[in-house]
Amino acid sequence: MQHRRRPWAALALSLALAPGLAACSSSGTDAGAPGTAAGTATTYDATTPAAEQTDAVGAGMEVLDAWTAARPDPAANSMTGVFGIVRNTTNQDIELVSATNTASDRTELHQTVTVDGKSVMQQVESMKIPSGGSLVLQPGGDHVMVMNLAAPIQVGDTVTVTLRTKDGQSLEFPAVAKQFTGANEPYHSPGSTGMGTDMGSHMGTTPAHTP
Amino acid sequence: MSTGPGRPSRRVILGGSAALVAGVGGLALGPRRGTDGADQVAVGSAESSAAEMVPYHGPHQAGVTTPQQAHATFVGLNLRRGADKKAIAGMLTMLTDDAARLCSGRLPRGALESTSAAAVANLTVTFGFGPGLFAAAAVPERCPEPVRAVPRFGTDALDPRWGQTDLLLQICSDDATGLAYAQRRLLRDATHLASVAWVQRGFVDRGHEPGSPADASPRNLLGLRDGSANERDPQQLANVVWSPGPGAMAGGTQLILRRIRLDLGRWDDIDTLAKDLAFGRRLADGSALSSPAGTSEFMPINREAVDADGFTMVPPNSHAARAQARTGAERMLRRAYNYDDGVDAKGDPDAGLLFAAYQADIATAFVPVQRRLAEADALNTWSTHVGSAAYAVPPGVAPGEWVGQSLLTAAVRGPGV
Repeated sequence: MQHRRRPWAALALSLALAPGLAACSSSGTDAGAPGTAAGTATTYDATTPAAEQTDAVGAGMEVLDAWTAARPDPAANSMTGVFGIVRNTTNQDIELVSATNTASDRTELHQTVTVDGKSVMQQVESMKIPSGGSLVLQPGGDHVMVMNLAAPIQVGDTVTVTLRTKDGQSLEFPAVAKQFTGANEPYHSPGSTGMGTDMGSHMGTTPAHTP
Repeated sequence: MSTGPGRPSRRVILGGSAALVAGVGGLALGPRRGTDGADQVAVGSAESSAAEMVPYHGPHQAGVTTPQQAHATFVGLNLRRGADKKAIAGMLTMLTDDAARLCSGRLPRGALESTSAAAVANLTVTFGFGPGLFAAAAVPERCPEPVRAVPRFGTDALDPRWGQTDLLLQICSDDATGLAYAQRRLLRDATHLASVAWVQRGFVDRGHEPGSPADASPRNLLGLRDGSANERDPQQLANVVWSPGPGAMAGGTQLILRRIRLDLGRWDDIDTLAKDLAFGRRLADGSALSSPAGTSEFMPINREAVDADGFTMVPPNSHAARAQARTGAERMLRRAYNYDDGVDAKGDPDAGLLFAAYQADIATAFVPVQRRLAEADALNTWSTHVGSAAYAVPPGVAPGEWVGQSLLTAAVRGPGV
């Protein structure tokens, strides 16, 4: 297994070296580092780590290990993130420009950045996946943001997400809802106060839920 | 007790072949761990890791005939009100995915660790269904009758705290840290639908006794080698544990889990000969009292053997004599773990045995044997059954399936399912 784990190790290293993400990677310690946009730090060209299951294939992409954080009480928190690995299997770069989901009417592509020493997430116009590379969507990093939830997403439910590329292709994949206490970065919307309501923690400092 | 003079020995009846055991036993049962690692060649990390992985997918669930790991946790869960078939299927889908990943050294879906959090170390995750799970899934009749109808025994002192639950997770590993991680990750995907009724943790040790055989059965807290009578021939073992069908339980098994509290202080204060006579085997090496000292523990008890003075060599009320299978259908695979859950103010330990036994049919195996033990077993003086739960252990899982899928959802129940 060691050889299969190395891409993850390399990814962790690249996260640690990217100042903007160090604060919200699970191994990050320098939460006060000045922030920059995520850029391409969450993509890598190494072999994609072995996944148990490829959740979807199409539009030159593969989606692996997709999941979303369950939201049993949308009144308390009407946003959630969708995470996983999006692999570009073509010999050309792919640009994701939008997404939709079956649980709400509003979906955004987000990155996590550090503003005034705090991890916040903000919408981006697009996400680039280099040829042969992968985009890692994870709490504290890039992710697909599901907003305006009207109905609960219970643990075990499946949310269907559709990614759309700049050249008009799309790929639909299921994301199973798991118990998760992290991924609560405040929502930073340039030009507004933009902070979420039930925040105060992010993955850099919050231990994972332990039943 | 009385059998005809020409009656063949148990081993002969059951068809076990010592030569076969020696030839293929280790292979068919999976990698047998050596006591000192001398029989394993270190060939680089990848291969070493692979040697410590028990395949999750297959015709049977792992963790039953798998060579017994050092640590085990049994987690009993009860479904929350309103849990229906769809919700159960969703939970089992996640748990199956988690188990397959954890047992192969991959992170569970959604885990954020950048490297595998703990060693795999022969990790197995085995799922058992209680009658309540079948009922909640609207297929109560698919729960094997023997699982629903474990009788009370005269010596029982059952505490409901350790009673029947709807779902069982049996997690075993040679690495206690890895086991704890697996338990945590699995419960993350279960506690939305089920609450934890109990957690029973156990351990066994082997290979720490100088001069003992590499395959010696582990000792329980009474100091007795436990499991000597288990079938060692893989085909015989398969006949013992796996349900032949028909129906969707084919390839599955039935688990009886008994929590047996032991009065170790009083046991410690009797002499070794008295212990040997109560057990029917020698404390020192597990050999049957019907065989000379030093004989392999795997030589079956001969209940009829008499000494030069005509006395029965194995006391009829000794544990091994009472527990010995009288028919092929009474056989079970004993895979017991010791538990030691602290001491009270007086210094008395809450300790004993998590007696886990697998068989194709609890009604023909555990029940008659336990009935015999409840009637008379010299060890009853020091042992009390305080917990009891029975589970249908569904057959193994193919990639893309979830555990118990055909058992709970197959439209038609019948042969060949």
